[in-house]
Amino acid sequence: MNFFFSFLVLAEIFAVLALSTNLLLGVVGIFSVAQAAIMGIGAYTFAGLAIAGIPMPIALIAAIVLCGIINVIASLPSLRLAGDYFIITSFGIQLVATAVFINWSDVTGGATGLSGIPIVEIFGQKFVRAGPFLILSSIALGVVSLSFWLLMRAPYGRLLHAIRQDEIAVVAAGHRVLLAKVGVSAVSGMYAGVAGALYAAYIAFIDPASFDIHVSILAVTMVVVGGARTLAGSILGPLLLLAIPQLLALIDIPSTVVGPVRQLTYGALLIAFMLWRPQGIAGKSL
Amino acid sequence: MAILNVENVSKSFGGIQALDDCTFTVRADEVTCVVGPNGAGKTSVFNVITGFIKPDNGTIKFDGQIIDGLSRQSRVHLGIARTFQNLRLFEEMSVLDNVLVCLKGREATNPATAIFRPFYTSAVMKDKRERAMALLEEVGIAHKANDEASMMSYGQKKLLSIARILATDARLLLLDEPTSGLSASALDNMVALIHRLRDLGKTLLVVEHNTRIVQRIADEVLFLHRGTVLAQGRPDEIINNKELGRIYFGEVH
Ligand SMILES: Nc1ncnc2c1ncn2[C@@H]1O[C@H](COP(=O)(O)OP(=O)(O)OP(=O)(O)O)[C@@H](O)[C@H]1O
Ligand SMILES: [Mg+2]
Repeated sequence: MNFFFSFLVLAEIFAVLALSTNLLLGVVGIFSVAQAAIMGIGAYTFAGLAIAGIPMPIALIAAIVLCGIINVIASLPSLRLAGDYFIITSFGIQLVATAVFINWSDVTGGATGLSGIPIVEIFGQKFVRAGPFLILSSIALGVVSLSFWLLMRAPYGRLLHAIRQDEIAVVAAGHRVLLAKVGVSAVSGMYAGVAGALYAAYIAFIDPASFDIHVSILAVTMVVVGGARTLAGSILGPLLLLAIPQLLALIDIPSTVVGPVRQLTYGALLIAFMLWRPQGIAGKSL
Repeated sequence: MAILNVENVSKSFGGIQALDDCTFTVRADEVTCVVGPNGAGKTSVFNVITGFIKPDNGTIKFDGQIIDGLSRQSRVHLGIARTFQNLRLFEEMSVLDNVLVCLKGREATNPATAIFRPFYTSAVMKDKRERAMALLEEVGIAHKANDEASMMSYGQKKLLSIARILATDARLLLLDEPTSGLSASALDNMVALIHRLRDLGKTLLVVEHNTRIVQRIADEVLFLHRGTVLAQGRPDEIINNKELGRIYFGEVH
């Protein structure tokens, strides 16, 4: 049972990251492959502060705010660069972040990572096992999903969809594209911050590999497979993609090839969906 | 009363002189048609008025105020809105949402309001839906409100592009070739709509190729050639001018 709860906790954490990616990539059309880097910043911020003895709610808020700000800065080049060029820029941002995670060892613990992240404790209840933690991750995903839904149904959501389709026409209607993009980047960054803090609190150990380019690409794959632009897509995608390694574990294959087989499956899924079902399982076409 | 003054505006793109010392006025509450051969600079005139291109020289006044330094958005808020020759609809959105996005007013167009004031946002949304619907009725495509914009006929798309600029509540509407490519019945529809907008107190500047339609809609005609206004006057004066006709048809055919 613990095994199944653990799977659900991770799927929920990744659903939060997928919603962060979905807002940028699916809704506004900012193709970022740096969302894991932002998640990592949230995780290191939360972990570092918690280890230093700062109360966890404050550590969480600090991680969220910092990620919001950094994601706005990271997204700024997209205001001047057409979609395809921004992928390269965000790729660079991801590489820089990973290099910082590895080399700023005083703060991040370097390649060996940060351990000893305190256990979450609320009213004397310790959230150390997957079962209880599932309550926390479900609350977090619930709040993030609710805010995503509120954004999408508002005039602001319509504006974001319009920006993806034709920025010139949005300007001609008297709207400031810059302002709208700054807002959505901040929200997307805050989601990634939530995902990072949850991850650090749950695993109690973080290292640079937890937030590298593969994780960013995994988030994009989750959005594409689950379905872009929709809430359901960003929840289905992580459930499905994280189930794959679990299923591989059931088949009796050598542990050394599990990693490559998983990557291969993800890649094949990405290609297959783009070719035959670009709208994903529950989304609208990119 | 002049609502728009374009004074000595020039613009060149590399070697091409798109506008060359272009000067004209548009009177309020009238329909002014812009005619001229392909490449005469008609769309460029729209681009300098709306701020989409910065002129090299010259001044533009709207309602007596110099607008040269204003952003594109500020010009919309002042009351100048335009359509595009290639429409630029939000093809994947519903017809209603296309108009809704363009409605005047910034309410609930930021994430904080959308998330933290859900009831206010609902009220804003309801109001915007109603206003957008009224505009779709005005242009005659209300029955298509919930269809995706890409599903509409070309004529309906052109009507939608006009509903969108009506949504900005602008007084001066710039229509870039609203009748080109329309079937005969869609064309009559469009002409009737232009008449209605004029009656509603809008000022229109309309790029129009067809002289028969110019005669049906125009109070005033501007003849543009190689970026310069060769003549401005009443429709029959311009259309019956043999010299202009030679330039126009000489270059078109
Ligand atoms: N952004 C631009 N960059 C370079 N050249 C341009 C640009 N905009 C317009 N031009 C050139 O300026 C000239 C005038 O173009 P414009 O689009 O204003 O003509 P038009 O009268 O609208 O023509 P049409 O009847 O074909 O729509 C053309 O030679 C065009 O190629
Ligand atoms: Mg043109």
